[in-house]
Parts: sequence; structure tokens; C-alpha cells
Amino acid sequence: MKRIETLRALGTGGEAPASAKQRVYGALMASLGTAAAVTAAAGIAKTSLAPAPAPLLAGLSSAKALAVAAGIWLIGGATGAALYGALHPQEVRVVYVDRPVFSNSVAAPVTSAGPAPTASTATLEPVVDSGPKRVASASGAPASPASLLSRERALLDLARQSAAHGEPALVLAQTEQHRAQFPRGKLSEEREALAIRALHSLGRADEVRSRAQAFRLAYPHSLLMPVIDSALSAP
Amino acid sequence: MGLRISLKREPAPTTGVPDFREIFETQFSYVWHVLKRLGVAERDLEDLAQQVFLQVHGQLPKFVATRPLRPWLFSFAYNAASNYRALARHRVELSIVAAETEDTLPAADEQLITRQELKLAELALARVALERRAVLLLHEVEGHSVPEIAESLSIPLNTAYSRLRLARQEYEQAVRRLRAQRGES
Repeated sequence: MKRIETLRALGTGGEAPASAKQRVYGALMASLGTAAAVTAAAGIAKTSLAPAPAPLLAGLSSAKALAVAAGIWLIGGATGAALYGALHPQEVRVVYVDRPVFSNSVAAPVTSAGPAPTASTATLEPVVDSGPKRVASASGAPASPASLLSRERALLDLARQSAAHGEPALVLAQTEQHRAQFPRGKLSEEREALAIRALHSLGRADEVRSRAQAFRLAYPHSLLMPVIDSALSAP
Repeated sequence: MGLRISLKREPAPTTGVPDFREIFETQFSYVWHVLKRLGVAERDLEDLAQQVFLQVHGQLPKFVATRPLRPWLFSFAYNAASNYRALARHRVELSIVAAETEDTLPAADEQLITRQELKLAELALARVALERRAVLLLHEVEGHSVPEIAESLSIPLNTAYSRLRLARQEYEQAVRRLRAQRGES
């Protein structure tokens, strides 16, 4: 096995110490709680320390001055509300709030947030579909390069996860789906490397050789070449 | 004035923002080991992990659903580790950190990689410069594509490729040196 491949065997590490996790979570909650408390306290301080009119309250202690100011403010507010209610008859308005309904499928807008697709929830359903994106394509507006790359990446993420779970047949299906949707995609190089490794895992030696040759021609300076070479040289 | 609200459609759409607690629960170990591999000493791991998750909490509303979560988390860990390593008092402890990596090693698998080889890989990894090690970890260990890595670390694509190439060279050299020190071929 080549040296660089040993790195792949390292994995992302095991479980961190449970006690450390608990301590960090506790400290985190304390920090977040403190931050919220400080913000709230600052808000309270700001309202309670509003200066009272100096001539009117001259000679009073600060506590008494605040009480008098609060009393004046309350009386003024109540008087204003009573006058407004007497002069303007009540009317009833019906407001219709039209909320868009999003489907639960893969297609969320690129700008929305949510967990990355996982192997357990993700399927081979096309990533290109539904909602706002369909409207955009129907109107003739091309998808932005960033959204195309995101869709490509989402699909290859699934393939990588399948590879990590030891499911080469699924990897192959997912890379083929990528090839069908993005024949000249930005991640084609990665896709081909994944597919070749999957073919190798499935023991389809002839296809490995032909795809590897095509890969070498298409990406002669690819950094993924060692991966392809190792697939070719492995028994 | 009375106000009656009639909703034509229900339910309201969810925002789709990942739950912070869930991220903490499922990704704490990942962040912990990334920090460790980026050179944070054992005694400082809790503080740095706390810093990382505080930032994650603050930036969570900006997280884009279609991005993979781990490279995004990695970028916070990388920034925290970079700042940490910038402190002079932490620079001299590379060998100590490398020696503490024993518990991150997985069991040697069916590919007959011995535990000794895995330990050697961890030690060699610790000798790769931090900015290049980050790219090497994301690509070789975690299997992310170079364009993804460039996006996560906010670096140009060519820089990412260049760092990966140099990181591989540094890693290979470190392995050779470590083997020579041990009297291996």
C-alpha cells in the first residue's frame, strides 16, 4: 500500500471523551446564556436610565425622579389611548397571508439552510427539481454556476458516502446519474475517479482499464492519477 | 382596532436551519479530532472546541443547506487552530501533540495496515505545515473534492491544488524521515 493511502485509513477519529463533551457543552450554554443575559440587561439599563426632564424634577432624589417620570409617561399614554378609541370607531380587517408551501423533497432553494443529505435519507431522486428552481428554468433564466456546483456536489457527496459505506454498486449508479445530469460538470474528474474505484471494487477489470485510459487522456495532469494507478495495479 | 387573521395555507414552511444541539451532539468528536490533528495540545482542546462551537452557533443562520456540514465545521476549527498556533508559546509543542495522537487511531483494518503504520501516518501528518495539512486532511482523510475544500477554506482553487500537491510531498518526506529514524527502509 502506498504511503498516501495510509492517510485514508486514519478516518476522522473515534469518540471524544464524554466528560470533555459534557464540560464543553456546559461552558457553551453558560457563555450563550451570559451573552443573552448581558444583552437583556443592557436593554433594561437603557430604558430605565432615560433622563427625566431636569427643571420639573429638580430637587428630587433619583429614585423619586424616576417614579414621577414613569407616572407621567403612563398617564399620558393612557389618556392618548382613550382619546384615540373614542374618536375612531373599531373596524374589522381580514388579512390573508399566503404562505408558500415547500415540498419535503431534496429541492430546497440554494440559499436556505438545512442539514447536508445523509446516506440514510438521500435517494437517487434527481437533485434538479421542483419549486423555485423549476420556475427559474421555465422562465429561461440559467441556473447560476454556484447552484450548479452545489447540485453537482450534493450528488457526488451521496456517491462518496456510499463508497464509505462499502456500496460500490450504488456509487456507480450515483456517478452515472451525475454523468447524465452534468456531462461536462466541474466535478467530472472527481466523478470519474469515484466510478473507477467503484468498478474496481466490483471486480469489473475491463471497464476499469478502459475508463482509466479515458481518464488519463482527459486529465493527464490530474492529482487523482495515483488513485487510478492504485486501482489498476491492485490485484 | 380589531384584527382577524385568516391563513389560507398551513403549515408554515420550516426554516431548515440545522439544530445547534444536534450539530454539537453529532459533530463534537469530529471537531475534537480535527483540532487535535491541527496541532492543538490535549490540555487546550476543550477551550478551542468551545470557541469553535460558539462561532458555529453565531454563524448557523448563514449556513447554506446544500453545503456539506463537515468542511464548514472544519473551517471554524482551522481558523481557531491557526490563531492558537500563532501564539509563540504553542509553536514548540509539535512533538508533544503528535505523541498524544494515539487514541485517534482506528483499529487496523482488513487492508492489513498495521497500527504502527497508522501511528507513523499521524506523526508524519503533524509535520506538514498547518495550511497544507488542512487541505491534506480534507482531501485524503475525509475524501472531499478540491473545489469543495477551496470553497470551505475560502481560498482560490489553484491555491488549494497547489497546497495539496505540496502537502503530499511534505507528508511523503516526513514518512521517509521517520522511517529512516527507525532504521526502516
